[in-house]
Amino acid sequence: MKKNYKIRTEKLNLFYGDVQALVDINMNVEYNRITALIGPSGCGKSTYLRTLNRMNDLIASVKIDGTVYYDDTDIYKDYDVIELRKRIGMVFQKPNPFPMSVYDNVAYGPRVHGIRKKEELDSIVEKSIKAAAVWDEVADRLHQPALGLSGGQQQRLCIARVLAVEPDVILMDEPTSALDPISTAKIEDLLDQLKKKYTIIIVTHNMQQAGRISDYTGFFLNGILIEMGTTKDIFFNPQDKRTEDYISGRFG
Amino acid sequence: MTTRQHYHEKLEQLKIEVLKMAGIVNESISRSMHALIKRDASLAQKVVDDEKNINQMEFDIEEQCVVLIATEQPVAGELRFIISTLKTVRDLERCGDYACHVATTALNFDENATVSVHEDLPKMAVICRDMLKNAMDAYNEENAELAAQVRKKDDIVDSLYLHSFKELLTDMKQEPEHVKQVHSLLFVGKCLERLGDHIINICEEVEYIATGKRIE
Repeated sequence: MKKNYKIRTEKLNLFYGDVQALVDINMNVEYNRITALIGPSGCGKSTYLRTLNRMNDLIASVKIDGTVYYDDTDIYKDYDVIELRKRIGMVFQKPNPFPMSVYDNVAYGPRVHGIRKKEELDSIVEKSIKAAAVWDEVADRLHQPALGLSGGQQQRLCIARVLAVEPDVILMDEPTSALDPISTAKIEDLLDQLKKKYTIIIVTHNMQQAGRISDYTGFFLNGILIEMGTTKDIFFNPQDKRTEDYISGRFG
Repeated sequence: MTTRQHYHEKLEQLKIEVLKMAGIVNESISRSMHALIKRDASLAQKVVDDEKNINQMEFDIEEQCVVLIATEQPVAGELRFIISTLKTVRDLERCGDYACHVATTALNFDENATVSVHEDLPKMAVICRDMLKNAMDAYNEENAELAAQVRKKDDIVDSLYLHSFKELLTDMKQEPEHVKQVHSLLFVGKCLERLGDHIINICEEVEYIATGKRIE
């Protein structure tokens, strides 16, 4: 059974100093599906997301128990962090392009990983930007500063930057919360394309977005994974009253 | 902390409107049968007039449902409630139509008619009204168990219908001069039998609201 899953966490506990932020999280994430994590602020969903590519390693007071398997390999024991983050890329809430050209933003990752040939880099940059559905908008300004793009274009550029290092899993932490509805719709359409090739886990505060785009949804509350199921079940017939209350907006 | 109070008040208001509509339908069933038995044309006319109000209520409630879906993005139990309410008001409207058919039959019944109303027909009307009342209690409480109990009562309506049908058919053979009047009573029986079916539909919607599962 377990080989159907791209990522599995078993009894994952996380502490910020004395404060427990995640409690015994068992979750299985399927290949080539979009899994949405929802829950009120401070529920642990972003913390959980960041355990999956060891972003929490950067915080000194964090202590983690339990296991995170990526393709059946324990990422906290048997994985080089740099290699892991190449395989498991991340897109953040606010678009964060580097202060360099559009082209260099996307070529940055491949260069770090040793690709030097111009033709090869050109091809990766074009392919990645096309896959991130922003090529038509930036093709004639590849050598202009990325910070001159609109917010929605910057965010898709950040997705292109992740795609350029050929990841396997993409983690997204509220990737559209700073964007207008049209840019949001473009990213959502893009996710639908990307899931054919990648496994995507997205944290979102927008419940309608979770309902629209994801195949599975997990609901977090106070560091506990209250309920996880197909998005259809979670939004149409959740089994736990707390899930129903949250998605119906009965508490906030 | 409770949120979206305004939205939840609108849902509550929607429920009240549906219950009001059901109350008028229930009254129409009672009045139409009374009008038939007592040959009371003005009571029958009241049912015919109320049918227009019932239709208007259906449209109004439908619109409220559509606006809630468009503006509030309901999910889970609340979404099921709204979807099932849309279907419930359609069934209530059909119940109102059947009551109106009975009332129209009462209006058209020959003043000098000598045929009396078969005793099973008012019994069916009483059971249908009781079923409707309980179905709407179940709707109000989102009570699947009560809805399931109500559904079972339709068997009684069906058996009374079959019984009255056979007897009225015999009457037709024995008293061919009354064929037209007896035929009208057969039609009334059919209306009441269909009424029971629509109440079952409402019960099925209540069970869906409460459990998220469809009844086979």
